[in-house]
Parts: sequence; C-alpha cells; structure tokens
Amino acid sequence: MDAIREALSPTDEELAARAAAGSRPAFEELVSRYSLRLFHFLRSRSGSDEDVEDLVQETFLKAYRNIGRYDYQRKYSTWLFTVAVRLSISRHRSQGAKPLSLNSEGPEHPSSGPQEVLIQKEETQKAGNIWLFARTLKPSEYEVLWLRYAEEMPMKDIARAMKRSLVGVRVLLHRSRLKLGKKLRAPSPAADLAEAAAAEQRLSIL
Amino acid sequence: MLCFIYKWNLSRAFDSGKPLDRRTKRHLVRCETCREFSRLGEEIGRRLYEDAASLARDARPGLGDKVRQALGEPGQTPSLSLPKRLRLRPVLAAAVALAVIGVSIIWMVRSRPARMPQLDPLFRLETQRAYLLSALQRAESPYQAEILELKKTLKSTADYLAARFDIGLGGDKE
Repeated sequence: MDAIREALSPTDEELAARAAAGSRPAFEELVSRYSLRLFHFLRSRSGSDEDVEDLVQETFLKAYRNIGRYDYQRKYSTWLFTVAVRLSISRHRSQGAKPLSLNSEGPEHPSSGPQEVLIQKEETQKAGNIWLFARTLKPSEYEVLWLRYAEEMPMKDIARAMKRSLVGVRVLLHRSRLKLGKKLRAPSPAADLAEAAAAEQRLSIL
Repeated sequence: MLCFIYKWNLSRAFDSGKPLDRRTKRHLVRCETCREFSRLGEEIGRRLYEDAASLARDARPGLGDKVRQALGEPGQTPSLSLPKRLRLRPVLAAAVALAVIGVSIIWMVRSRPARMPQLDPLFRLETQRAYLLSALQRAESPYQAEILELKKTLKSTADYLAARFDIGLGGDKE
C-alpha cells in the first residue's frame, strides 16, 4: 500500500515545477521531504542545533525565492544541496570576524571545543552512530560523505553541488574515508575519559 | 611501498562500483595493510549507509513548521519561472550582443567603398559627362570625315572653274 502511495506521489522535480508556477503547498511538501536531510547535512558547519535550524530555514527561503531559476531537467536535490553549500560557506565568511565555535574549512574540531562537547553529549544518547565521528572531520569532508552515502548522489552531482571537479570529489572522499577509518580505530575521547575515571576509582579503593 | 596507489585504486572502486584491476587484486593477496584498508573501507561505507537511515528516522517536529511559517512572512515571494525560450541566460545574451556588434562593424566596413560616390555626387556627374562627351565624339567622327572630304571636293571644283573661265572678280586690268 505504501509502495502504491509512493508511486502515485509526485516527484521532487514535479513539485518544484508546481512551486515555480506559484503553488506554495507544493513547496511546503518539498520542505517536509528535505528539512531533516538538510539539517543533518549542515550539522558539521555549525555548533548548535538552533544555528543549523536557522541555516536550514535560510536555505529553503533562498530556494523558494529563486525557484524560477531551477532547471527541471536536473535533480531537485542536487540544486537544493548546492544552494545549502553556498549559503553555509558565505555565512561562515560573513561571520569571519566573530568568534566561532568551529572553523569552516580549517583544522578539524579541537578535542575540547564546543562541537566536541556536543558530540560527546550525543554520543551517550546514540552510541555508535558513525556520523557522530564523521562530524569531527572538516565540514567539506563530512558533506562529501553525506552526499555520497546518505543522499546516494551520483559523483557528478556531488561535484556540481560542491563546486569541485570529479577528481577533486574522488580525492576528498578517499581522504575522508581514510581519516574516518583512523578515528574509528583510535579510542574515542569519551571512552578515554571513562577509562581514566574507572582507573582513578580503582586506585582510590586500593 | 606503493600501497598508496593501491589504496587509491581501492577507493575508486568503492565509488565507481567497477571491479578491481588484476594488479590491485594481486597486491591485495600479498599486502595485509591494503587488505585491512579494503575491509575497513567497505565497513565504513556500510555503516555510513545504515546509520544515515537511522538518522533520517529522527523527528524534528518544529523544523518544518518553522520554515513554513517563514515562507508565509511578507516579502517571501518566489520568482516565477519563465517559458524556456525566454529564459535567456546573461552569458548567452552577452554573446549574442557581441556577435551583433561584430556583424554590424563588418557590414559598415564592407559597404563604405560602394557608398563613397554617393558622398560626392558632383564628381560622379563630371565623370558621367566626360564619358558621354567622349562617346558623342566617337559617334560623330564618321560624319566629320565625310564633311571634310566634301569640303575638299568643293574647294578643288571651285579652283578648276575659276581657272577654266578666268572670271575676274574685279581684279587688275592691265
């Protein structure tokens, strides 16, 4: 029954075409389809959930204002993620003077930074989700992994969304997987802390 | 030593879905590090897929509503799409404008020599007059020769008659 409903429901591209013709409900349907996906995609760029939600909202507003420019022969998801990437980068540039919780394209998140603290907090709730480790990578590395594995985008669409060459995307994916592999093999800071606390307790008993 | 090349080959195979080449396969048999890399790469890929699906099940109820509310605010109007023919991109428009300018310059340069006599009508009239005169002269020349011939004949006839009859024209009488 769900499969039939899914087959009958309009595609993203059809909805975008209707939205471009002036239908707001069509665009709202796109918002419900993509808001959570965009939220997770943009998470590496911001320190708090509120900031990410603001960025998601801005992305949709920008997409709504410029829906007339969308080319229906291309995938809507590629276009929307392109808008999101550009917006997040420009937002980080404009906030360059302010003290940020993390760098847009700088070094990976420091172990004692707010991002790391947030991740550790979440780690206790959702133990073992690999995307939490991925969030400690550089934003571009996290984003390329998200587009490749969560969105299952073709390589050329990833290249278009991230404004990189095809080879550039392949290299970035290779590097991201290598780094993630190293992080997965290395003991996590939270585990280190837990281990250290346990050792201290044992010593105090002795 | 050349493991980085084989790791790159493995990584490309993960992304393209194409089978590994023979050399990489042979290397994998011998190299424990690359086998580990291959295993870890597959494991990471699988976990990234699966854990993304679990993230997608997380509900953030306020998020969609927040966006919908923002869409309803004044000033948020979509740019309605134009028919495809009218969606002329700026680059295309600039190219067309350049082509038009180029063609018009070439046209002006080429058409100028043909237009020059029009800029000086007196010169053209003079040229035409000279041409007509010479043509007229050429057309009159056979008659002129005949007239000259007749003049000569008349003169010699008058000379003969004068000698034959010796008509005095009131000249000296001795």
